[in-house]
Amino acid sequence: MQGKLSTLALIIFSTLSLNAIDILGTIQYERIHPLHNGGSTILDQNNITTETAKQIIVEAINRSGQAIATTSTDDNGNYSLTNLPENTFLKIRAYAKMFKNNKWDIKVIDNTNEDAQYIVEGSLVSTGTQSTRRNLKVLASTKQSPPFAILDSVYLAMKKVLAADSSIVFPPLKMNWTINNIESGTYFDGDDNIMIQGDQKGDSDEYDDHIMTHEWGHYFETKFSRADSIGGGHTSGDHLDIRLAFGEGFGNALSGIVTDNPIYFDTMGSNGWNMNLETATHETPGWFSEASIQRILYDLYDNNDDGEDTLSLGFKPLYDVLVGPQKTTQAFTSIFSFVTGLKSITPSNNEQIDSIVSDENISTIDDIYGKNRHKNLEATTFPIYKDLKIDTTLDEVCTSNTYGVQNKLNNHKFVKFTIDNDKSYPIRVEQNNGATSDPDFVLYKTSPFEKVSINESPRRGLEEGSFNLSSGDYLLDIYNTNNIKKACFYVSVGKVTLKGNKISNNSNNSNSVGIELPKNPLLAFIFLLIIFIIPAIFIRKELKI
Amino acid sequence: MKKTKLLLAPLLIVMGLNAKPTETNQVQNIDTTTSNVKTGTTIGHYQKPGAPIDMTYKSTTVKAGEPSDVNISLTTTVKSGSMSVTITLDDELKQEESVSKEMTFQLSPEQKSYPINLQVSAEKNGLYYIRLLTKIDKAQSSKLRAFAVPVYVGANPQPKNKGLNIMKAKSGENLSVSKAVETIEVIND
Repeated sequence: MQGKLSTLALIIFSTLSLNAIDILGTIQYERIHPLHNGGSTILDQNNITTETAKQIIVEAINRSGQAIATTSTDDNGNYSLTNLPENTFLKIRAYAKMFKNNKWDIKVIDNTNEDAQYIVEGSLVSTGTQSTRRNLKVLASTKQSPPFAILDSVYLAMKKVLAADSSIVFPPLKMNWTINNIESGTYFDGDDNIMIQGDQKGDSDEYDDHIMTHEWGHYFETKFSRADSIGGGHTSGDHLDIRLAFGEGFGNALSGIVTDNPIYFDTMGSNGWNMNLETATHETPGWFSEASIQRILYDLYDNNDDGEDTLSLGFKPLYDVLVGPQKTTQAFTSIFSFVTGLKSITPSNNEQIDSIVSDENISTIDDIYGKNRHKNLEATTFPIYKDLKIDTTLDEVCTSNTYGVQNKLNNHKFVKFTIDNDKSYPIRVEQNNGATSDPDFVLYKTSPFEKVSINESPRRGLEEGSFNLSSGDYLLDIYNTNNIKKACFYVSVGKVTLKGNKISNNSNNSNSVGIELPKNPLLAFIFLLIIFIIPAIFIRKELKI
Repeated sequence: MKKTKLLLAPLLIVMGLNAKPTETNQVQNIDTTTSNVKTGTTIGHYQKPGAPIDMTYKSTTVKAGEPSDVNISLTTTVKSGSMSVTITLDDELKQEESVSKEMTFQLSPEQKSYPINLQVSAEKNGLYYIRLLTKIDKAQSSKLRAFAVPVYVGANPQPKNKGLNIMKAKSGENLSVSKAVETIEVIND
């Protein structure tokens, strides 16, 4: 009897053990590191390390291709799939995807192959009767590791943000990478995609972690803060539109902050370049310079006291500004709004903040509009925001291409005004130094900040429209789409008190430079008499027809 | 007849006054109506940090063996110093004319753009690329920017790696599948 019971116990124990098969393991990938030599940087094929794939999805797949268990790796790349059936053929599949409910959802896809999700797999092997360790490793030499390297860079950035705010939920993001991305460029699309250059014979960015973080920074700024940047080409020595300068400077600074490495680099096969975010030579420093902004933000963050930088705030205060006052600022997002916000959050550090800012040839920032600037710049630069009263006309709002076109300083001019009564208002931007420009404008309401209207008619010399406006503060972003050297405008909201000579408010044919008939019929008749009849009589007489 | 002409004269004067002005400030548009000419530009598009250079191209789609004219124009906001360009072609592309693969342009405020004209051909249909590595040397620093200009040989050529290792998951999701290096060992309690 006792023997029978023992056998029964053994059977029960064996049956229970059927549910006790586990598969554990680690997912790893290879990363190629940069090699810096002065101002140039290449990918060093002799410096490849094995890294862990963190927080990625791992599945156990059966013979028929079904996932019978799913988990995620931890921060060490380890996974654990438990309670798997014994003696069952399974393979381990690792996704280039991080998903955590109500936390994050990021995947790397091949945008040239039906947005296919990158995965790597092991072999279909029986689970046997004992738990096993199955490790997967993705090699750089086979071009399979880039999706995992990209995710790792993103996760590092997310961890920096999570350390500042553990309750944050990251909206879905798709990282579009493939070796077919030869002419795609690398950029954030403003929504939920980051495009990544992957040309293995030219420029590829998968291992350039500063670039990955820079682009992710644009995503962060858009989703959690506010990005008013108008985009376009830019570089560190440029005099940029203040919105673009802040966005790019922030992206660069964040890449150094996340990696705790101030050397920003971009490799291009056997070529590449780098810049030190902290110590690079100051080229045309100022509030319009992305390089100045990246240095200010990095100096505010880092522990390294150098020069005028005696502050080590870490990331949390910068994060608090970005998701707080910078997000809700009534001005455009710029270094003015950021520093003003930071001073309101950490008032005890105002002196040190001013020192860091002044090191970039920027006088003390005390307001979001950048008032009281005194710098040797083109006269039309100041004031950065012009105040307009309703039913009056501003003159001399001038755009220029002195510093370049499209997105450079003074290509866009800003006008602010306040509406007290809800009603329809005409807004009129009319060139007053000729009619060769194509003025356009974008209207924003500033609290809460929202784009009200984009006005981009091809009309020469004049842009106008009527808008139902509720009480509150507004901004106009005025620009000259055809980039003429200098275009000055009358700007009015409501009644027009100054008006150009060349363009009629009621003219529909904006491209015409002809003479219009007077509206009064008598005047029109006299006009035609002068133009047609008198010359005809005169000519008849002279020629004796 | 004479009478008519004379009476029309003032009318023509008025019409002349109403003529459209010459559009001297309009950005030049590249002809995109010809189906066998592919065009592209980086102007106005977001760019990652790097050399402040934009590229515009016009590339003629040709049949295998025929020469394709590729007109590239580089523009920059930098007004002094130099811009160097290194050109590389896909192995399958043959350069028809002798144009140096290494170029240096002296930058000046007067010059609006820096042209590079090439003629290339390929023996087989396909999508090929001309790559440009550009660099601007300034006193304090050098920055680079890479560009790729497509050359279309034959009708509708596809990228070389399109469709490789793609499968559908049970969920319907498209998967790009690769084999990992795997080690399996039994866990001894």
